[in-house]
Amino acid sequence: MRADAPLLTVSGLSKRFNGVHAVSEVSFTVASGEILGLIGPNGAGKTTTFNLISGLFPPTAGSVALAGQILTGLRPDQVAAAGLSRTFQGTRTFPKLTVAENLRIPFLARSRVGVWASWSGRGAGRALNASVARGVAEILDFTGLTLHADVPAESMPYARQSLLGIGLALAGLPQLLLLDEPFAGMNPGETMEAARMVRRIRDRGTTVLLVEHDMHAVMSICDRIVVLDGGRKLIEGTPDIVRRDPKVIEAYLGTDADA
Amino acid sequence: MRIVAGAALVLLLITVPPVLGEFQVFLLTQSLIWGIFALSMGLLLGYLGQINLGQAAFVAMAAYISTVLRIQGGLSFWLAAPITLLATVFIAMTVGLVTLRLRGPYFVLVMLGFGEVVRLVIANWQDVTGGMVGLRGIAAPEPLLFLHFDTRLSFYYLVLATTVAATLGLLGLIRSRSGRVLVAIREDEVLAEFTGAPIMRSKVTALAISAFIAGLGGLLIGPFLSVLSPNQFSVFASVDMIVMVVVGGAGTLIGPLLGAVFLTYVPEAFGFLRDIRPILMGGLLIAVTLFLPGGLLGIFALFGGKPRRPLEAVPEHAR
Repeated sequence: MRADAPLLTVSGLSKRFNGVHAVSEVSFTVASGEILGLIGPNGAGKTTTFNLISGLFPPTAGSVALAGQILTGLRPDQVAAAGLSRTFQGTRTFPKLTVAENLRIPFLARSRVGVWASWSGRGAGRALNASVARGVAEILDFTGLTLHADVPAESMPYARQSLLGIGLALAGLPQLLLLDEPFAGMNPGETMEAARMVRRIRDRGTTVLLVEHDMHAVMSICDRIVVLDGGRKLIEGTPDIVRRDPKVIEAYLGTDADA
Repeated sequence: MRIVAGAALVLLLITVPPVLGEFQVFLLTQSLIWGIFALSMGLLLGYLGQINLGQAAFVAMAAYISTVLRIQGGLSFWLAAPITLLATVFIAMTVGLVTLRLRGPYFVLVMLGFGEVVRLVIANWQDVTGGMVGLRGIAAPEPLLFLHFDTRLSFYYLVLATTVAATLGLLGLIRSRSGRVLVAIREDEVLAEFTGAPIMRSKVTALAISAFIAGLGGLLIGPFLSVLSPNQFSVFASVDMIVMVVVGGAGTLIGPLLGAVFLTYVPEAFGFLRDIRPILMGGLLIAVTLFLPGGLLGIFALFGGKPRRPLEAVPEHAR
């Protein structure tokens, strides 16, 4: 594979729900190391596109490939194992488990160590326990949740829960992270904090694709933006190009474009 | 602390029965066998978050397969046992591959149907199972090495050993990688799948292990009662297991065992109420669900016991 080959290739992606075209012929690529924003007015097909890429349901036509590997048709756990992980709108964690127990799950879920080894803590089980402990500590540190490691997820404030949600998706250093409205429900201060986190995720070695409503945040942190409208791709380009494009202004941004 | 308490309890269960009367040993054995059934249900209810109204079918299959292998096949108990467990687990996996794809009430309904199908097959396959009359005169397990099981007390020790082994085995499973992943699936199946958990494989494995445990109890119930008939394994048997788990405390291992002991001794003390037992079971289930969501174990927590760890918390839908 050439060095400049795209990390994610979405080609001709279409989804019909009972005859309604939610997404039609959407194609774009994400380069390794970039932060790409997926935006559009309500009903533009952003969330559907997002769910198709992450494997929540299969497309009617088209395909998704990560670093040359076709992901279309794989189960969500196989997509995760291939190096593509995602977060969910709002906060989605294992509510009754503590933060540290939450973060153990993705490591344990992906391991193939057998019951016996894991139980006895010998051999592969011992190695697993050690590597899980290392991985959890690293993500606790990265998300700044170390002090809250033993707190049940459900008893933390919203912003911290959404940090944990991101932490769950970061286990095992995914190649690509899909963030579903990471700034929803946050005040400006929390949004800035979260935006900094997104950049740090990229700097840590994970490419980021995000769906977001908050124009300000999208324009400021994304390297490139793909605009959807009516289930089709309207345009793609750098924030400057997108911000000035008359079609985009007409379809969606309106006066917010200058904001 | 827990290890000490557990060891003390087992020591008590080893040393006290010889001085008890024959009938008390009988009751204790019955509690433990039902404890094994309740453990098998507890794994599904407390750790997979799934009710199984067909659980008694796994017990029935193990009981009948092993007994038929002994009576008609002439095999010893110890040879019939592994064949029986293998067959039970295989059937459970096959059934699970189909039914575990169903969500919520549909799984419960189809497993209820499965349980009834198994019971009707047993009731109508006269040549092999003896039909509604059932199988009678089932002998105690043959001696193994120098161990004999032909007295009430010696058979009790076999049951006790099986119960302890099943409990320790499940404890290991729950604390292992697979157990944690099961808890994650119970808490949020979609999130667990996107964090990399193979949902179907985990669920089918859990059902197979549950059927294995139920099968262990099934192996013992024939020699214990010396008779088998299809009516022992109706949906009410599965409901009894559910009540035991909920009354004892779902999401734990000691809870189902406690529930089985409770539901063996209490009806015995109120023997005159035997005719309305199903009503009592239903009433108890409602009362515990409403007023004591943690089960009997929840009472201990109320009286200053150490707070239950989140991993052992009762799942929302099992309350």
